[in-house]
Amino acid sequence: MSDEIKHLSEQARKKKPQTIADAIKRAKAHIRNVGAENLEEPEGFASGDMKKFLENPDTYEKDNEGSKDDKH
Amino acid sequence: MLATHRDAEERYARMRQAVLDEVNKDLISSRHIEARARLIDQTALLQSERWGNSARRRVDWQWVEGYNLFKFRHPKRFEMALWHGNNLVSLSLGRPTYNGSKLRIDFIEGNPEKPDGIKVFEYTFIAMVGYAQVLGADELRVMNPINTDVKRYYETFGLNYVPKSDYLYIRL
Repeated sequence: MSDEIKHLSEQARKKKPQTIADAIKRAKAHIRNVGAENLEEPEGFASGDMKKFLENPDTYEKDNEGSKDDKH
Repeated sequence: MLATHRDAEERYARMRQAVLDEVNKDLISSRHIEARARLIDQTALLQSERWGNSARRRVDWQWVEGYNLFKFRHPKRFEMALWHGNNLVSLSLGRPTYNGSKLRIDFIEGNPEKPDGIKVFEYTFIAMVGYAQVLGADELRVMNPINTDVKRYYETFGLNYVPKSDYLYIRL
């Protein structure tokens, strides 16, 4: 993955959009730019661990966001 | 429910709806003219229970239980039910991180029997970017992709995988 597409748009980052509509336009432009709009989704598409959440929401949230600084 | 919790729920519900209104404007003017983005309601939750009958389903989730608990805990949550006509196409649910600078999607599932050509993540991503704008978040995260195919699919959107914590992210 190139550094160039780690951000939706370098230009847009310099000048943040002011409206939801602007943000949506930017997201659509990003999808077009990375060539993702015509790709088929995997069968049975899903993400997450709802079972873990339901078993113990406190543990789930702690494990998924152990530190509050949100760093990778 | 405390008054402060109720106030937050109502305030953020208006924000969520404002984002979905904008997403729907885009859907109406696009090739997805029959698709609509809505908040998750009882109709959507009931329809999601039919997904358990599909052999194509990859998860065994109870959205009614999961949504109600998540809703109670997270008034600032992101949520979306994507419809195609009268068919529920997907449900998604997430929340801002503790300091509010990131918006994460905790659970997303596509209807395992959705029609060909109807995609789930594209408009979820668009709605998340819209809600991130409202919150002032500068990063999206997708938690716990269920398999390698799904992870790779997210990567085609420019998301970067963090193996240590099993999520993908993109800076906005």
